[in-house]
Amino acid sequence: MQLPVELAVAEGDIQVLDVDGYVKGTSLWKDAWRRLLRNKLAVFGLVVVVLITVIAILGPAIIQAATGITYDYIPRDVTLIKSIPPFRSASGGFSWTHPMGTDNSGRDLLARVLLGGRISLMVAAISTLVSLLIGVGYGAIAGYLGGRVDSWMMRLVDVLYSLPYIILVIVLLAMFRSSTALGQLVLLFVALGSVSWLTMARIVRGQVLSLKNQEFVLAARATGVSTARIIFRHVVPNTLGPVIVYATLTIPQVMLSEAFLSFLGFGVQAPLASWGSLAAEGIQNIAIFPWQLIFPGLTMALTLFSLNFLGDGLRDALDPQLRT
Amino acid sequence: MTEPSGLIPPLPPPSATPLGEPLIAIRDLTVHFKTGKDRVVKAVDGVTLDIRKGETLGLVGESGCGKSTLGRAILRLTEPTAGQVIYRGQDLAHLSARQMREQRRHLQVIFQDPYASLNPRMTVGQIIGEPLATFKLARGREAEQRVQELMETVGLSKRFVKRYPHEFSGGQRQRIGIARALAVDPDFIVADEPISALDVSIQAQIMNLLERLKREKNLTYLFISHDLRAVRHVSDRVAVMYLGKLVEVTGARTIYDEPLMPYTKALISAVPVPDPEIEAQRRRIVLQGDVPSPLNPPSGCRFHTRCPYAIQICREVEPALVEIKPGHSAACLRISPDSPDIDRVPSGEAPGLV
Amino acid sequence: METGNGTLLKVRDLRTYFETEDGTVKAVDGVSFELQRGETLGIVGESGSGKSVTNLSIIRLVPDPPGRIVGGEIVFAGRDLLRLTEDEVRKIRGRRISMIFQDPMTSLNPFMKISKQLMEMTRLHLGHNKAEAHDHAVKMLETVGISDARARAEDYPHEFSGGMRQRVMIAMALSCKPELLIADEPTTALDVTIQAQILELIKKLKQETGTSVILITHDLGVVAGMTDHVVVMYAGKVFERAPTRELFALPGNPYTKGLLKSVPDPSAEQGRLYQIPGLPPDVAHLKPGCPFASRCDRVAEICRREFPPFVRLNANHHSLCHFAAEVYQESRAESSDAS
Repeated sequence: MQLPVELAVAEGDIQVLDVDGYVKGTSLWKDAWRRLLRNKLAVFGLVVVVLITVIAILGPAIIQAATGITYDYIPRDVTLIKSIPPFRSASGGFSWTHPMGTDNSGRDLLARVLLGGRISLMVAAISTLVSLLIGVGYGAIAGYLGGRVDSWMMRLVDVLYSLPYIILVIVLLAMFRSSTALGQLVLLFVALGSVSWLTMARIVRGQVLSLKNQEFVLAARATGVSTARIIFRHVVPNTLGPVIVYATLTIPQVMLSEAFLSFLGFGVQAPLASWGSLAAEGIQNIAIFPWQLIFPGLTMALTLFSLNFLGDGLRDALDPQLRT
Repeated sequence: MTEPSGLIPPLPPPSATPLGEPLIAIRDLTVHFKTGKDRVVKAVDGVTLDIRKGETLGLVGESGCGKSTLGRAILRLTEPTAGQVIYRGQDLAHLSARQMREQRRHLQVIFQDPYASLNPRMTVGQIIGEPLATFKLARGREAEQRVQELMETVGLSKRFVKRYPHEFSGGQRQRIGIARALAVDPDFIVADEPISALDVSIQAQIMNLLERLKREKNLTYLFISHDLRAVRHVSDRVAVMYLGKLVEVTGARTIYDEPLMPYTKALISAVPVPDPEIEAQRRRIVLQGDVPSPLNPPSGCRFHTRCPYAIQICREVEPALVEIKPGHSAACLRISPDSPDIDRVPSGEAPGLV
Repeated sequence: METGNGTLLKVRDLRTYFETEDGTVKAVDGVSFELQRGETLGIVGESGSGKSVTNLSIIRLVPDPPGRIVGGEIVFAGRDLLRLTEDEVRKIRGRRISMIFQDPMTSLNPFMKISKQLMEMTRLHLGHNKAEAHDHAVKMLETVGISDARARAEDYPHEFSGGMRQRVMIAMALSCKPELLIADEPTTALDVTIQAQILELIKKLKQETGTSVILITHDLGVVAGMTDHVVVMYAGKVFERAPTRELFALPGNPYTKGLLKSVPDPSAEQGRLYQIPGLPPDVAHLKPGCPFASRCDRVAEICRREFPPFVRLNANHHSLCHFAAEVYQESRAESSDAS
């Protein structure tokens, strides 16, 4: 069939064909990814975060396999009540055994920092994920349905927002102290996740409010699409830009909150470690054994600002949403 | 041809509507918006209109006249406050949400902004295919084929089916919107300013496309636009709205050659003609003042504040839409079937007042 | 060229390029035209034609980066605007060359009273004191047809309708009695009856003050009614340049011809509209040869290979086309057939 001229492709159009001869499309996500990769600071942040995560996950196992040291391994020689500095052995000579030194009980600090990384990252990631799921769902429904449903839902958010969260969390954790590792972690998830979803809900609701009057949403209604599908297939994917940015910037916030709580003694307890609890332990000896604070502190700081760079880069990459 | 199991067989064809019977009968349709403490925007105020099967009815007016709101109210994209919209024996304005969704298969819409009317996160194939899935008209391989057929029907190469909206130009995006509207094989399409956002050379392409599709698929259009030249070209009949009310309805040629109501006359005369000789010579009616706000429309005839022919009675009595000549209705107190030409009506007289 | 009272503005070989992710976009690529004092020049084009960028270049408001004026001259009343310093240009902007934009909503500061915005202009450029500036502002508002001007001057932009805001813009633009007014799609966002009012206003003010006007638009009807000369732009280049009557009666370029044919003529009964096939050009990736080649109904091999010459059809009429003379001849034949 001879196609009329209007079917011709625009001049100068660069096309990549896929296997079936269809022209490959570039979704907005791909576009944003390319833009992100051009931002050197963001790439640095991304690489560092990924690296630290991988090391935190695999590190303890490698160390255990290589040297038999675990995070809670206390050497039998109980005369070692003082902490060992980095790269020294118990007798004072150079040694690879403790690259970061040990804590007051003789436990290897590197293993503890890596474990701390695991826990801090896991708590932060899971809390953020939980807050994302709840916040996005809540905000999208409130925003799209509007009217009184929206009013009531957001009133609840306002009330929860105004509660003094730190005090509540501390009270919660104080009341429900758990002795098992899992118990402690779950408490932390609940406590931290239950606060950060509020802002997420507000952000998503705002986005949804402006999106629901866009013509493509009207078009979906006009073609008979059900309300649920409109919310989750049409509206929510278009809110994900700010949501992702906010999530990436929430992770460091949650990490800091957890560190703070652990620092106060409400988070993870020994022998478990998180960066915050390590900092708490380290600060007691800061004058004599400064490395106990410096190593966990530095690692945490590095992770935090890498996440922030990544978050900033994501915001810039995702912002020009629609290409002209 | 046997149908694959699980799919709903196509609906039987609509009972034959005798020629001239309205496809959609709008009766006294009203849309009022409350904007906080006793302020009501009377966007559409008691419109009665027939849309005949197979015609293109043009709906023109300026901003605030309610034409877009009327188009959306017919499709229940905006909820009507009162009145009826009768289609195939059912009153669309009073159907439940679920019943209305079933009817949507026959009533589709094309929007103004090709940039905003497509979900930027879906591919073209998904956008056009969604209505097929919603009404369970086709699935899998058959759905893909149908999508590609639709793309070719509207003049897009089917090789673009995996692309995203932002990778197309404005005119192409509008074609995608048209393909989506056609996917369900509707009877009636509301085209809400379909060409206003496009370049001049592309406008002609889209107008021609719409006309061709109408012929091939037996469609009926409500063509809403503020561009009188385009409306005049594509429409069979034209209805003029002002501040929520219909003020004149007649054939497309007549509305341009012999407008009866003063607003229509001013509207036609304000349209610039692409011919310097004509522009230099023609006498233009330039209205004073701005369009009043639909929050507080003037009393009596809503146009009286700007009308060069207004007299005292125009402030007090609201004119009804009356058939002045065969097939030509207008709402003006100063004309009547016996004296249709307002320039010849003696000053101070209102023959339309009953 | 026609005599008039002298040439006010001469644009010669203007080039403005933008650096984007897609490469260098040659938004304006070798544009030349002249404007005589007291005349109205229309610049017609579609999206991607470069018409708006041309005018931003004239008053040097091109966002830099990503845009840059890379070449050419813009001679205004004897001085090349491209060679002036930023300070010198600022003195000219608003005082001798004014611009009004398409969207009056975004051109006015929503936080300032109208009177203050008007007064800013004259206090800066004409050295008025507060009282003088205020009186002048009220007078300008009356001139542009805003009733109850003294009271309305104390209102804020959002209290005005679209048409009235555009009038305020015109008042601002003309308050220092500029020699040149550049109007970029001034009525595109307005209703058609309001458009008629604004265009009449511009015509009236032009007669009273003798300001020269450059009117940018895509609406051929507006061009027909308002302009003396027309420049048709496409893909950053001037495709045709002629006095208005001549352009409409005897077009010498296939693009112009196509445009004229594709606008529905309300006074005639038409069947299928003529349509220019294809899509507007992708100015970031132009192929060699004529930019209109892929859409032209009389395209030939040479059009795709070589960039067309700027042909002089007569003293005032030029067209960028390999077949300009033939197209012009055809137009003459068609018009004598019609008459």
